[in-house]
Amino acid sequence: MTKVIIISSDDERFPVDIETASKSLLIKNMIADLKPDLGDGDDEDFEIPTPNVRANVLSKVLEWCEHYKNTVFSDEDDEDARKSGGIDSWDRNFLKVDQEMLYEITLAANYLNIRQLLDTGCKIIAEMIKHKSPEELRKTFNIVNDFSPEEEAAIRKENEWAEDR
Amino acid sequence: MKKYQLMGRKATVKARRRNVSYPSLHLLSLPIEILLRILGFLREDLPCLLLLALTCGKLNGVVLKMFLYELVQFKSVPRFIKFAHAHLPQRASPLRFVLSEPSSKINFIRSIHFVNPPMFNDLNPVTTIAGSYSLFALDLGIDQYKGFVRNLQLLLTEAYGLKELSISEILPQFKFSPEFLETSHSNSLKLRFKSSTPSRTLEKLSLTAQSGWSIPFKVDHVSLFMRYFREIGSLELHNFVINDAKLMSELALPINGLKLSACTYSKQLCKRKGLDTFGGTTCLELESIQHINDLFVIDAIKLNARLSRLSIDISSTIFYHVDSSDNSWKFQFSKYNNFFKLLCSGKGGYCTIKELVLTEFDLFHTISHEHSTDLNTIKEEDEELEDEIEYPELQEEKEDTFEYLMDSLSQIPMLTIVMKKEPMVIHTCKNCGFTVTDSHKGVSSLREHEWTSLLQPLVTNKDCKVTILDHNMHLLYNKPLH
Repeated sequence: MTKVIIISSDDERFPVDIETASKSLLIKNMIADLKPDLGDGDDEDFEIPTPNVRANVLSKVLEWCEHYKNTVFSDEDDEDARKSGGIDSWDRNFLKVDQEMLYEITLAANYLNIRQLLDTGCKIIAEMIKHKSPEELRKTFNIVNDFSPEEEAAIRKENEWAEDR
Repeated sequence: MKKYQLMGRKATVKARRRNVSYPSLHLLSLPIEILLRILGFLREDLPCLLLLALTCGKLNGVVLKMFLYELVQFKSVPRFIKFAHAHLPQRASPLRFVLSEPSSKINFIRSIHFVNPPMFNDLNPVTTIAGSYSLFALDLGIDQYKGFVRNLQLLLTEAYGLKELSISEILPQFKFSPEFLETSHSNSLKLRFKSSTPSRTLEKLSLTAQSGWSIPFKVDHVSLFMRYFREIGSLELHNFVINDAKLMSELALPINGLKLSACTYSKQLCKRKGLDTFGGTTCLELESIQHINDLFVIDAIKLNARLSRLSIDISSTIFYHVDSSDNSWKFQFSKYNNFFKLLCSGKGGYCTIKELVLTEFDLFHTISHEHSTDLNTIKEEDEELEDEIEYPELQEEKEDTFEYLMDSLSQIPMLTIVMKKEPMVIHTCKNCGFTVTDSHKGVSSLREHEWTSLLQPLVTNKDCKVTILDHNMHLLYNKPLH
């Protein structure tokens, strides 16, 4: 069976089937443009380099693609449905990784144009922001406070009107 | 530092913030489009965004510019007054004309939404509807009404980036009273020296009547905005009554597009009288049409001789009837085919209409395709002649079919069909035409030649440009003019 070989930035090769690789819109379009007859009896594998994605991240991303290879996602352009949808329990477990890895997977999903994985990564990060005080947020995300106490008070005052909106 | 050196200096000087560098895999090092995507999932959670804005300068900038001040919603007058005190120019004392500087956040505003605007009722706080129901309005008093109007005027003066403004839950008594507009106008020194002819365009103004009611549209609903904007790109009215008698002899408003959603048209004057208020309207959009008489608003507006684009919501209930044979909703081709034929004819008052848009369209399943083979059509000459003599009605074109509708629509120079979201299935022929094997096919998967077969009368007319879009406005088919 013809495979798509995805090559990471550190030259590791990941052979996957066409369905799995096609979860990435970038790869799907590359196949359509450069090798439209791939899988129609053509035995030659098709190599696609991904110079922005490291091997350990690519392996995680392809694990996600393999899991969802037979899933048809609902309308991608429905902004409301996209935002209101919850996080699947499998996705939640899959993305139980450290912050750096989570950012890397999200960046890879953005580069490879895998919208569902990108949204899930962003939703997980958004959940980490929720229900935290400014101090807790700084601690969680390692953010340096560059406000003086007067500035912080001024910001609170000018946005007071929106507090109980 | 001498006293004169401080003149013209702003009251607050921004502290220079130190540059903090973060590692490449950090929340604040993510590309801005990803950061916006993350924060987009928190758009509805305003308290959370406010707390995030307090963490550091970068997040403060992103949250305020892209979320908090981009779309501002005021659900009550006190909230708006609070906002106005924090961001709009205010007089330092009642004895001085000098106003304070507006906040820089005003420049971030793109869209404003007022819910339940206050009204000042100088006559009667009780409105009787249909002689039976009494609607007690919450009269907040003249001071609050004046405060609302004055600050709204200041906001319209300062918010140069404003593109959209919507007011919802409008009470029947609501209006911008001219006497208060004059009073508040004279309060501002800046406005006194301002040029009398506005140069800005408000892209969209949306007015929605209070839930459950339809209220008469008055020029006083929009008069305030005409002082600040040269033109309104699109005026959207939801649940209003367009009464031609009340809109007669009013000055033509500079409204380019008019969208009437679930609005009723009340015709009291003679047929040849148009709606003067909408004398400049070139685009008319009708959505959720309530009654067949509401279609007469097209006639009233086309009398301005400027109407060039017409959009009709095909999913409106007036176009359908319940078929007693199978209790399903069917499009009334027999009733509306001639209406569309007239609209697209380009004759008489309809000659200015160059583009017709049919939205929420789901009629492709009604094609009455009958597959015929060559064997069926082989006839003896005598038989053919006999058929023509005995059954002349068989040769006539049926007027209550989808094909006749398409044929009528083909007379318009530009036709745009926006498909309904669901269902998007068409019945196709297994033996000929656009598909060989499928009996049902999704509209989005049709190919060029299949569309050509489906839209035969439209394609045949070379003077008709056809565009088919899906519900997300993505192009499905396009036939340019030849």
